[in-house]
Amino acid sequence: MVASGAEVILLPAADPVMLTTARQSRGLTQSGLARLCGLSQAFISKAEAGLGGLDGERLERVAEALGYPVSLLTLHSEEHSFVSACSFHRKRSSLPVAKVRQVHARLDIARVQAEELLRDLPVAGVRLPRIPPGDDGVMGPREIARAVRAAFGLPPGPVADLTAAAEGAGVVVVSLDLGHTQGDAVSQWLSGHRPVMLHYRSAPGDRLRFSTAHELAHLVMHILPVDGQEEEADLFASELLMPAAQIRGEFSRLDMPALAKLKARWGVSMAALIRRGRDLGEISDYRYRELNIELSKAGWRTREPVEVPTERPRLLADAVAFLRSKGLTDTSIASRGRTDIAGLRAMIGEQGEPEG
Amino acid sequence: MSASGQSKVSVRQALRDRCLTVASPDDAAAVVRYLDPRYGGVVFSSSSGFSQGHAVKRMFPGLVIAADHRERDKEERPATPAEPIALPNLGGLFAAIAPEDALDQFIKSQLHAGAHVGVIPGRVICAEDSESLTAVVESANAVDRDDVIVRIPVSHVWFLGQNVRQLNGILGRSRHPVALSPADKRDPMENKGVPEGLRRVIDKHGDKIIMWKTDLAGIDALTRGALAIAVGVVASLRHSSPPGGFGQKINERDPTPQVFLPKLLRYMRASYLHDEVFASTQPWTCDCRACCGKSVDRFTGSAEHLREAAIHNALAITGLHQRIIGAPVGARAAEWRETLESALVAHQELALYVERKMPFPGPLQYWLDHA
Repeated sequence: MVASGAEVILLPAADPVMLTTARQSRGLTQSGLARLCGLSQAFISKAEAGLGGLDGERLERVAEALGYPVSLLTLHSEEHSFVSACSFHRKRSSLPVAKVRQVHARLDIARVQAEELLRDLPVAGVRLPRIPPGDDGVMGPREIARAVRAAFGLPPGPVADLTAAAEGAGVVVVSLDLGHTQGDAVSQWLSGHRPVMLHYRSAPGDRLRFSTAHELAHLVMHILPVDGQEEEADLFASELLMPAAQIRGEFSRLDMPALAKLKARWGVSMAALIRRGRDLGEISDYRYRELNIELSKAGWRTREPVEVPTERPRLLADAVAFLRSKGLTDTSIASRGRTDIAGLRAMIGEQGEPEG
Repeated sequence: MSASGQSKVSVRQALRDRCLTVASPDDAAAVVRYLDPRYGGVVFSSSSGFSQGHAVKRMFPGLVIAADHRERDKEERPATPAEPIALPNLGGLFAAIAPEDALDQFIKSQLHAGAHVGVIPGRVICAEDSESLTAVVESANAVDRDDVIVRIPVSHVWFLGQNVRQLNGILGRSRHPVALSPADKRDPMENKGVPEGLRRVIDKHGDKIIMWKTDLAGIDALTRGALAIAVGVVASLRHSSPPGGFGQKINERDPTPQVFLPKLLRYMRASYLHDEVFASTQPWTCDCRACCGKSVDRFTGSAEHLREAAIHNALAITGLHQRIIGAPVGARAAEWRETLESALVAHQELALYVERKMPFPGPLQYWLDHA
């Protein structure tokens, strides 16, 4: 706040929750951020607790240190549902809590940035259904996956581009380099907002497709975390990508060459196919173990043969292309999206460098 | 329906606690005289050969009689939502009637031929095919009769993990008793987790479940409240087979029968008993009315021996069944546990006797550990 004679001018101040989220999204501690912007940790702590206003020149220093525009930090967090954010995350269990928090914060911010970019653009509405599993188990994850396939208008058989199908149903997908490889995807669908999914840019194509299906399961079925949600999401993902009715007959004489062909056809990992065969009763427990041992011996547990092309989202890139076609510069588009040019280009996949 | 022909009783009343013997029409004709009308019954494994129903009904009043329609192997197809029931190709006048009328006609034809209970023949339900499973139940529910049961063979995978909850949910919608039959190319109970999953189904719906084409899994189910069981006299009639798999193929080089050994609670092939287990020791003998003190490894692949083994198997299983249901309902589980414990000891004793390893089968171990 600046006093100018008798007049009081209110300077935009950082929203405490936005500030905390932005800091966490960069993987910074309060001390780390304080060092970067030449402020004290106590000051940052008070600002995040809402006990001291962060505005003016100090806000600009903090924003610069975080690599976000001031306009992002001054958004009202409650209006953007930051306070109630609930996210699902397909990741390794070894991922440290701080990294988990960082990814979830990055997802929150990506959602806001995407919504700002898409605002008032001729983009299709959300068609993704919300179908919670039934209490009696009759309408389970697999039945819901079939309903989603129908809602997406997917033909029987392999899904050519699941990310495109999800975007077509109104899901915002952002692919980013998150600085580590211990996860695949994270998602969130808050009431009154678009569903959003963050892809780890580093994830291999086959794994990313399954993770996309897994996250779609959470978006469709789980409003809040529930017991057994990960198993439910895996059942959904298997049926979405490998429908029982169509894949059942493809497991006869299953060996490594046959698995490689199936992988190329269905766009899922050989490990996922072996599991699917067992789940459908098409291969015995004994053969399941044998095939997994073969995978391990060949060193394919960590890196399988047969590359599955990595699906890349198009929705935001198309939105930016549309805005450019209307004569907007990248600077103004970035400003609209509450980011900078590097951040904008990272969000639409125009550069492989870590996003800014 | 009326098993005795004297008074009308419900299907559930007539079937409660019974052990039906599933056999081919020829075996059934031989076995039926050995069955106890108070506790037993016979299921003809093929409705096409079901012409002796009335004769059996007359000669053995009290036995429950049913026919299990089975398509020829090459025609077997899994259930689909559009075609969940395996109606026989009746041809002629039947060819032109609507499927629901054909089902009604088919049930009537079973009852007219002497069956006490009509069997609605659901096709095999593949893993995860909930639409077809629902379609079987809904098609059966459309049959407005109280003298029928619906046969539902399901892939063994239905008894694993989250599938059980869904299976329970759909079976819960059936208005008729369900003749439930786990399907696999081999003994479904040998799949880890299946005995446990089956118990979850029985615990939920026991009063409407008839374990169909089963063996010891049926006994375990009875101790937990299953309505009835139907046990096959040969291996291929002790579980259902998935489409495309025809169950355990008869080994053409070894046509000897699988013989039930009550002390061990397991079946063993006669040739294995003769050539391996009792190769250098005196074989066990059996005092059942088919064996009359003869050795259990004597059976060859001759038609006479195959028939004799079928009778032995029926007698041995029904004997076990009567011991279990002879106990008060609340004490059946304890009786079963004691029987399993005795079988474990018998395995150890046999191993010492024949000087070879005699592992206790996995399903028995599960039932014993969780008795």
